[in-house]
Amino acid sequence: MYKKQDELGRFSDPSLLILASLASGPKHGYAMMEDILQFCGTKLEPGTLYAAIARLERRGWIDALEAEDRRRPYRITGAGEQALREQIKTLHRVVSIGQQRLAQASQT
Amino acid sequence: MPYQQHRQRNLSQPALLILSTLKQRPSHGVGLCEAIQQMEGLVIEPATLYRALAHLEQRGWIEGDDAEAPLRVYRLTAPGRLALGHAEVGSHSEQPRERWHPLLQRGKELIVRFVIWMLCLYPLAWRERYEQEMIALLEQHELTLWTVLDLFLGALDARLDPHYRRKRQLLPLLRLQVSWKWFFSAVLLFCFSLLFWSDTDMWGADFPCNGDAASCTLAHTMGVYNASLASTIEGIAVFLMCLAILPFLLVLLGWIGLQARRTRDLLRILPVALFVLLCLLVLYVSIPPWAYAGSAGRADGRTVWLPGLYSLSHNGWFYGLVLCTVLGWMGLQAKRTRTFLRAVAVALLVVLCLLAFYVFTTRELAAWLSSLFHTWWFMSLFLAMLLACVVLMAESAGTMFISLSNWQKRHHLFLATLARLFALLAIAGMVGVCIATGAGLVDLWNVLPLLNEFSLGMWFLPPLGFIMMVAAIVIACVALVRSTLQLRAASTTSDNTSALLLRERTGLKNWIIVLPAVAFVYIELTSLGDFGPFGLLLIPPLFVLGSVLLALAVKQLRVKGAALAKQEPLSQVQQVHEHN
Repeated sequence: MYKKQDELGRFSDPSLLILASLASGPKHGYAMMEDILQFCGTKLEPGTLYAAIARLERRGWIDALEAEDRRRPYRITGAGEQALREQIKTLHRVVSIGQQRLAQASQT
Repeated sequence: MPYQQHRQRNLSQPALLILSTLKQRPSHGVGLCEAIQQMEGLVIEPATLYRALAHLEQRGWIEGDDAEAPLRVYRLTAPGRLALGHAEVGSHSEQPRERWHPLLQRGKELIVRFVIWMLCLYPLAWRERYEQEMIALLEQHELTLWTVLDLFLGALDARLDPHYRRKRQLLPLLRLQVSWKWFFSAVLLFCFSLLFWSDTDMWGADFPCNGDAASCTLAHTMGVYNASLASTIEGIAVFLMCLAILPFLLVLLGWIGLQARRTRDLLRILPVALFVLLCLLVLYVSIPPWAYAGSAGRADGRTVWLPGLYSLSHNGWFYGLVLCTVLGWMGLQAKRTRTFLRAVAVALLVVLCLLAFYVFTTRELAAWLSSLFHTWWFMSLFLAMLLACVVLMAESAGTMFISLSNWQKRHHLFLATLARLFALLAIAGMVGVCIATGAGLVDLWNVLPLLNEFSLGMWFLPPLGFIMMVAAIVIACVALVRSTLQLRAASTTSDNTSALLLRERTGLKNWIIVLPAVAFVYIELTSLGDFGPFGLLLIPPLFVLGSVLLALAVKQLRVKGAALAKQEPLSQVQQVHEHN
């Protein structure tokens, strides 16, 4: 149970996208959705988005800034950047190994 | 998660605006901003603009010149023109429809409101933190069925999260509100249990001594109860309770008036005012000395004093007129169609009530109806309805009583203190009634088998009423203690101003407050006999006048309060200056 709480669960994927989106600078919810739609084509829904934001905020990976009007921008923290780097490293490994194996498969 | 194919046509709003502006003439970023603001009245933030520009340039839909000028001039490319055409075709199929049918637009608004309402499903702590931004997001977002489902899943997820379950306790003000709701429910429960009790009282007065031993014992016991000290104590306690509850309700009225920011909010005063007036009526009929003048001539004593009031209880026209007042008031206030529809609903209610009273006046139908009251299913249905009334009324009262937005002002705190004082008084009165009826119940307990024997029906009601009374007192006490503790906690915590948008409930639900009041008066007065239509002519106009005057007075108070609130910061500034 405790271990499960520590994981991001079904929100791991949106979390990665949010972190990637915030890496370019602070954004509020709608800007994040637009940004994610533009850079990877995934249309996040508000429910998923905010579930992921709440989790990331609780883990200290992102930070809420002062709200402007009603919208509140978020910013990535040091720990968040670290986590993003690690995840990207893993993804890179997956990509390179996948390509390698595909190449091997096409050779044989 | 499956990645969706990016739809070429689906451009974001800024991108579309930029493209359509650039179609007219090439422009630089600042010029674009101004042009969009002039044409559409929209302010695009520089960050959004340049993100969209970069994105469009990346796609090759626009191109910027590479001149050395400080501002890059962008122009539309051929693919960009094509994309804009596609997007316009896509949006044209939607836009004219919006113009043709305001109803469609209205439906869309309703959907947005429904989706925003869905945020209620989230835990309180979550809403306090995220609701505002979520609403802002949802208003911009293109809503689909999947959005609704996703929100539902998100709410479920947040509910299952142990983090938010613990956090709920950090909201003292909301808990305070809940306490007040509990208190109101308790008082109402007590009133209803009193109704059950008064029925027994009635049986005793009317019970005939037919000559056989058992019935004479019964009549004697009941007579003794009626004349006993217990009834006097009960009368005094009822007096005390009403004395406490009425100012309590008046405080409530003042509170609503002070909180009202729009005239429409003042509408809420009317149900409460109605309740107060009806309570006053009951008080006038039932308090000593005339109500308990003597055991034998009790009913006669009342008839001498109050000829007009009895007719009310037997006259559907009175209730019809009361509802008509409400109707007229609502019609006057109606600024939107929705409000008007509400008035129509009340009109239907009036018609139904009049029909019901017509049914009641026909003797056979009345007999049939009273036989219904002896069936268990009808009785349970009736009780369930009463319970629903209690819950709704308590809810509206609780919501009205504590507002999260501006509770910190001094007069609100003062009112809260005052309200608690009255609540204490009310509880004292309730305890008094309970003790008095308890003494009666001991007598009655011996008589119950006899009652059963004479098949008077509903013999279980008096004990049930008594149990309900005790339960109500316990609940009221707990609620009062809780509210005291929570008020203290709320005033010591510094950051109790909640960002949570309080959903003001101005709906039909508030009018439910009238139903228990009407039922209360009706049952209280039915036992007193039938008289001419004297009060019919006098009371309704008085009532209308009274409630309108009350509403106007409260409005005046509100205006003054608003003026004072405006002056307050000034005086604070002055104080600071003087201090320096």
